[in-house]
Amino acid sequence: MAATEPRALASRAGAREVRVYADLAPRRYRAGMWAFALHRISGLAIALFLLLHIWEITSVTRGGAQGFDQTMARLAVRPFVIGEFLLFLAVVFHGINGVRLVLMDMGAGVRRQKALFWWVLGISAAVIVYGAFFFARRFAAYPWSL
Amino acid sequence: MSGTWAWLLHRVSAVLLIPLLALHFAIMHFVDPTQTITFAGSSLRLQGALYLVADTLLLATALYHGLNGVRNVILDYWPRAARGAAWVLWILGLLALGYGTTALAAIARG
Repeated sequence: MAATEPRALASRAGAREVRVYADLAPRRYRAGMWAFALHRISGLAIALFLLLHIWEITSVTRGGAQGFDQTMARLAVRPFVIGEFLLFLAVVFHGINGVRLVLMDMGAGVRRQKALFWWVLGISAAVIVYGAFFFARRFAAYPWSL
Repeated sequence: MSGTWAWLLHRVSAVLLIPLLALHFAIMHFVDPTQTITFAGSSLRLQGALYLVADTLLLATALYHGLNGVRNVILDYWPRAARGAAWVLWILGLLALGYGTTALAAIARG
């Protein structure tokens, strides 16, 4: 029993090295790895946005109603509409792929995870196309800069 | 907090975030996509108790889910730093929650 312990540890350490390497080598990705990488990148982007978003909304505690309106007016330009659309892409993918992850955690669809990932991409694409019309209208209504 | 609790809360917040964020996005971007956000408009919305509760819950769940996600990334690549990072992230999260809640209350007050 004791003899297997170091070997198990060694192989676990070895597995980690391979996984870290695989994380950083997209050419070796298979479907599950793309799902993992996209989930992680979109998640980090959304987390960064969340902090910026809180900073933007709390302009009200720093500058009152006027400060809030000034901040919002400054953000009502096309570059930020593009940013919002990119955020929309990230949120839609992360949320829909997240449903797949919760299902897998509950033991559903583990063997079909690859097929489910294609479903995730398809449903995400449909939601994104639907949302794109709204963002296009927003984009058209706003100037490039103030 | 033990790993199991962090994992469970990550899942619970994820499930809550789906309807909360869908609603938030729909109201902010799809009802009238050409509208610019104003204090007056936000104040009117947040005077509805349900909206205020939903927004505060959204703030708390999004912060937990986002910052715990950052912790998960650190845990994968730099496990020895995870414990210290968790403390920093908790402090950052609670500060952001407090600051954000103050702002929501200020907007709701009008």
